[in-house]
Formats: sequence, C-alpha cells, structure tokens
Amino acid sequence: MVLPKKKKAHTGHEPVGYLFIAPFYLFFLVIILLPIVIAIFNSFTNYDLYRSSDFIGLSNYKTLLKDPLFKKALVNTLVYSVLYIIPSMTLGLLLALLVSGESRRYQVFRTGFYMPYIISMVCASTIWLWMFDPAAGFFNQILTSMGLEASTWLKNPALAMPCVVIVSLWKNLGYCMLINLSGIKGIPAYLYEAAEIDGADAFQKFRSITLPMLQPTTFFLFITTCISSFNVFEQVNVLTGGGPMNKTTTIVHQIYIRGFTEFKMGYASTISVVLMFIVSIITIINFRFGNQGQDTDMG
Amino acid sequence: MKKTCKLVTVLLTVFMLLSLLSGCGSKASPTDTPQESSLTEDTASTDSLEGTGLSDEPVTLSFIRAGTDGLAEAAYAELIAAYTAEHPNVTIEYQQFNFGSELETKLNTLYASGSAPDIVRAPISTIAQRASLGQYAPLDDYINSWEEKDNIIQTAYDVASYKDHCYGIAINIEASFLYYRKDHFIEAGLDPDKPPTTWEELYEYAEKLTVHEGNSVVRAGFSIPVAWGHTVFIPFARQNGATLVDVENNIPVFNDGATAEALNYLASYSANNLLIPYTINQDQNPFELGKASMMLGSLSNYKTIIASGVDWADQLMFAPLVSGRETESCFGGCQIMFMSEESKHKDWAWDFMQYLFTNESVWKLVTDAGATPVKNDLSGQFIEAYPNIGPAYLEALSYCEGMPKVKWSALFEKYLNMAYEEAMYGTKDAQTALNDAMELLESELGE
Repeated sequence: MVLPKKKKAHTGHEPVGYLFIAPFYLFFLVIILLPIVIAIFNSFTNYDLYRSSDFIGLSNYKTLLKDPLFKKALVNTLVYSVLYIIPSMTLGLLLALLVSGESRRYQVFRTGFYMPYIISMVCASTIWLWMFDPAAGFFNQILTSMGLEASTWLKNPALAMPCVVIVSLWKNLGYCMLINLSGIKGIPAYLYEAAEIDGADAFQKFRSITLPMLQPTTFFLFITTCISSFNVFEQVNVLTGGGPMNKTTTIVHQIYIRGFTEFKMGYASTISVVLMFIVSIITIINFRFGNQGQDTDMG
Repeated sequence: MKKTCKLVTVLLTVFMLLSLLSGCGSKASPTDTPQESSLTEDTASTDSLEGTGLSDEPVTLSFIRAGTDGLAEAAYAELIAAYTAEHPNVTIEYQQFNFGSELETKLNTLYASGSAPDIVRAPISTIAQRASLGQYAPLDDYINSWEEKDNIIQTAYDVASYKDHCYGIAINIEASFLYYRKDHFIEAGLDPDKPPTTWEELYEYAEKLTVHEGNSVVRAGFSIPVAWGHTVFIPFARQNGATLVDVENNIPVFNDGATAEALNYLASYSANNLLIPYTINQDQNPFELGKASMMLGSLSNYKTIIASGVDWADQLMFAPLVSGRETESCFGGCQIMFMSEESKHKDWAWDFMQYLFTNESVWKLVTDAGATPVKNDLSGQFIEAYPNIGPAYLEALSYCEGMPKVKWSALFEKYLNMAYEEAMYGTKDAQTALNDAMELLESELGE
C-alpha cells in the first residue's frame, strides 16, 4: 500500500498576508514616502507651483544658510520646544497621578482634561486669540476688574511665545495625561504593596517604583512631543501670524509662508528637507541614548 | 508562490506609477507676457460662443471672494440667489477667505491643482503676478462690447489694468478717510466741527483724546495698528512725497527720507504710549469696539459699526484724511472682479459679472455692505442717501491709491510691514528699519 506523500508546510510565504498589509504599504508609499521624495527633488529646483521647475542645484540650500528669517525660525522653534516639552511631560505625569484613582469622580476629571485634545487646534487658537485680545479680551477684563494693568499679550514680543506655548499646553495636556495614565495602570499593584510593607512613603514609592516603571512611556512621550514641537504651525499662524517682529515664526510657518504665499515652493521644500533631517537626528539621538526601560524580573 | 509574490509586487508598482501620473496636469505654460484675449478661440468652453448666446446646459461657476465681512457675505448670497433664480441652469459655488496669506494660499492651491475659480474678487496687489502667470483673463473684448461700459467710473478700469490690458473691473474701492467721535472730542475740549487737518494737529488731538489707566491705554486717541499697518503707512508716506515703488523701472525705493519721516511720525504714537495694539486682519480695530476716538476707515467700516448696534453710532463724524505735506493721498484698497483664464465657462462668468455691475446690484452692495458706487449713474443717489459720510468718501475716492502693481507686490508688502513693525515696536529707528527691509527685499528679488 502506497501512502500519499505529505505536502511540505510552506511558512512565511502566504499571499493573503501580503494582501492584508498591502493597503497600509500603499498608503505609506503614496501618502508618505512619495511626497518626501518629491519634496527632496523640488528642493533642488526653483519650482513656484506653476511654471515647469528648473534644476538649480544647491542654490536653495546656500540661500537658506544666509536667510535671517530661517535662523530666527530655527531659534524660535528650539525655544518653543524647550518651553513646551518640559512642562507638558511634567504636568502630564502630575495630572495622571492625580486622576489615577479608581473612584468614579476621577473619570469626570479625566474626560475634562482630555476634551481640549479632541477639538481642532485652529478652533482652540481662535478662541484663545479673543481671550488674549488687548482691547476687549477675557484676560484683560479680569485684570482690569481686579485693578491690575492690562497686558498686550500676543502683541508683546516678550510674551507672545509663552502665550503660544500656553495654548499648546492647554490643548495637549490631556493627551500626555492619558498616555501616562495608561503607563501607571500597567504598573503591578503588588509592587506598591510590597513597598508599603517595607515602610516606603508616597514620594519613595513614586521615585523608586512609578518613575522607573514609566520609563518606556516617558520615552515614547518624549519622542512624540519632540517631533510635534518641531512641527508647530497652526497655533502660530492663527494667534500671531509669526509676529510680533517674527518672534514666534517657526520652521513650519516659514515653509508655509514661502511655499504658499510667495510662490517659492522649491525653497519651501528645501526648508522641509532640512527640518526632516533635524527631526531625524534628534530622534536617532533619543533612541541612542534614551533608555527604553528594563523589564523588571518579578521572579 | 514566487509567482504570487511577483504579482503582488507588480500590482504595488502599478499603483505607485498611477499615483505619480495622476499628479501631472496639462496646463498651458504661462509666460511673462500677459495673455491676449482668447475669446474667439476658446475651444475649451462648453458654452456657445456665437454672439452672446449662452447654452441651457447645467453650468457650475466657482466664485471666490477676498474678505470675510459678514455684511458683504450676506449681500453676495442674496445676489447669487437672485441670479441663479433667473438662470436655473447655473449653480454658483461661493467661498470667501481672509485677505493676505489665507487668500494667497487658497488661490495658489486652486490654480496649481487645475481647479481655478471662474470668478475671483481679489485685491489689486494680486493683478501683476497673476496676470503675468496667465491666471487672470484679459477682459478687453468683453468690456468693449458691453453696453454699460461707459457707465462704470474710469478708476474702476484703471486700477484693474496691467500692461495695456484690462483684467477686471473694480467692484469696491475702499478709499479711507478719517472717522472720529463727536462725544470724545467734546469731552477732550475739542471742537467736533474742526477735525485735524495736518499731521501735527492729528498728533496733538490724539494726545488730548487718549485716556490712560496707569500705564495702560484704555482709549486710544488715534487708532493705528502696530503690525501689518501698510494701509496706514503707505498714504502717510505718499503724502510726504514718497514713491515707495518705481513701477516703471520695477524697483523698490521705499528707504528714502520721505518714507522714513512718515514712519517716524507714526512710530511716535507707539513710542509715546498712545495706542491700544492691534493687528489688521487679526484683531478688531479698537475704534469699532468703542475704545478709540479716531481711526482711518472706509465705507465698510461704517456699515460694520452700524450693524453691530452700538449706542454711539450717532456720534460718528467723518473728514478727509489730514492734508499731506507734499500731496493729497489716502489708501484705496481695490477689490476687483477677475475672471480666470482657465475658466471653462467664460461667457457665463462674464454674464454673472455683468449682473453684479447692474445699477441694482451695485446699489445693493453699497447699502448692505458699504461698497463703492462704481456706476456714474449712482453718485447723486449716493450723496443723497449718505449726506454725512458721502462727501468725505467721494473726496477720498478722487485721490486714493492702492498697492503698487508689480509682480513682487506680496514681497513688498511683507518687507514694508517688517520695517513698520520694527519701528512701531521701537526696536529700530525708521531709517534703519527701512534700509534693512530694502536690503532683504532686494536680495530676494535678485535671486
């Protein structure tokens, strides 16, 4: 009796698997990778959105090195990043700790803090623009009713950037809180029980258990807030238009101004390529030196 | 298995190539020479080109307007509704955008993507660049055969002309003049029947009218913006004899002594703490909020103030802008009706434009939105309807000037405003600010 031959099992070559991941890769290719390639190409041309673009070599990059507005935008972006990242991560963690309880009332607070995150930044900025208005804004009405002097807020070169940062913080704090909260909820409860048995107080528990166990979450938040802070645009465009005196113009704001209002899409592409490299370098440094956390052996 | 992998790879590659091809358009490449009218050769139009015949086929016109004034929006909505009721086969898609970068971004995106609007109501600053790029259609043939041609005020054609072609017709010329509050004048011991007539008087009145609480200004004497103030700066500079732009030689000349003197004058208001800071197109003018005694405004500001229902509207008085040291000048922002060269329904677009310029439509825009009576027939009616504001406005209209018609008008505006802002904030003196701005503009123009 001849037994039928067993077919060899083929693993790792399922066509259905490729078909399942094809939509994402198509999206990635067409929506993300292709525009990057086109932008890099355009950065070597004088493309102005209408005429056929001529290859001009490194001319755009040379101009960029001498462009005082780009230098200002770079400095402003760095200032914004520092002013935004540190408070957002600190306050996000603090809020998460405050609302991490099990009681139902904490759910109300979590919802309240998260709600600004779901509205569009343009809408939020428009509302804050009114609140900061020197003539009839909400903040100045409060100040004057308390007998204090009104401020010029967004029209004050020294206050304009902090005001933009405040709007960003208000809007995104809920997101930082939520991410930290998910990290906190993932910390095994018995670690805290053991620490309590050993006589640890709240601060010691926070320092020795919460912070180390939150390292992966903190690292993730740091990366994402770094990237998002370098891409700041909507609140700058609505609140200040880059002013006063270019004190709040950022790299992406310059990309927009150059590309869409000055017919210099080639030059704007150059700025965006440089931005891409800056963000890539920062991300690589973060991954190189950032501790992605250790799995604690619970035995 | 290898065949399946190859098939998937081929499919992915084909999709990618298709997406590359879909981004290619087939636009005609524009040249620096303004396009000749293609009225008789427009084979892209689906409308009949015989005489003035218009087809009954469904037509959709896109109409973009610069400006977000609510009163004008409502007026245009009514006009569009009336037109489409008369022409049921026509649908008009209307959009409006703020002046400045918002409008420029929208127009640039639409023209670049091949979705050019049929009709654009845009400021004079757009004409040189967009006519040179072939985006605006010359209307000479349409206008020459128009029976209402001679009923339109000449200025409406002049401001819309570029290199011997007429690219549009101005539907609104926002000539600015002085607004002031009678009650504030009386309170400050000033005679409301004697508004300021010179720069010195204007400053003197502003000092007397400004109210401080501590160090803060709670009521500005003369409200001017601290940023994007070119509509205030330019007329003062021209009054002082400055040219700002040598249009014939296509060069900026705004760092001369006359311009610096005008800028110094305006900066003195900020330096001496006489202003409530605001930015044009971003914040409301403090005068409209009742927090200033004088401002430069146009007819549309009057309509806005009346419509807002303030209880001090009866205290408004009007006068021409103070006399210039060298010449009379005021800013006249011109809103011009253009037609896109790429429009596939030019005859219908022209028909709608003719409708907007009928006496009834123009008068509706005057009464509802504070627009200019651009028809010669309507000037008497205008004076009769607006005896208080009419004379000041019509006088301003006679010598108003808008932005220079050069291809780099947007860059000129950007760097002039940069100098203005630096002087207003006191970070540079006027001459240095203008010199630095000029240097930056020249370096960009040289690229």
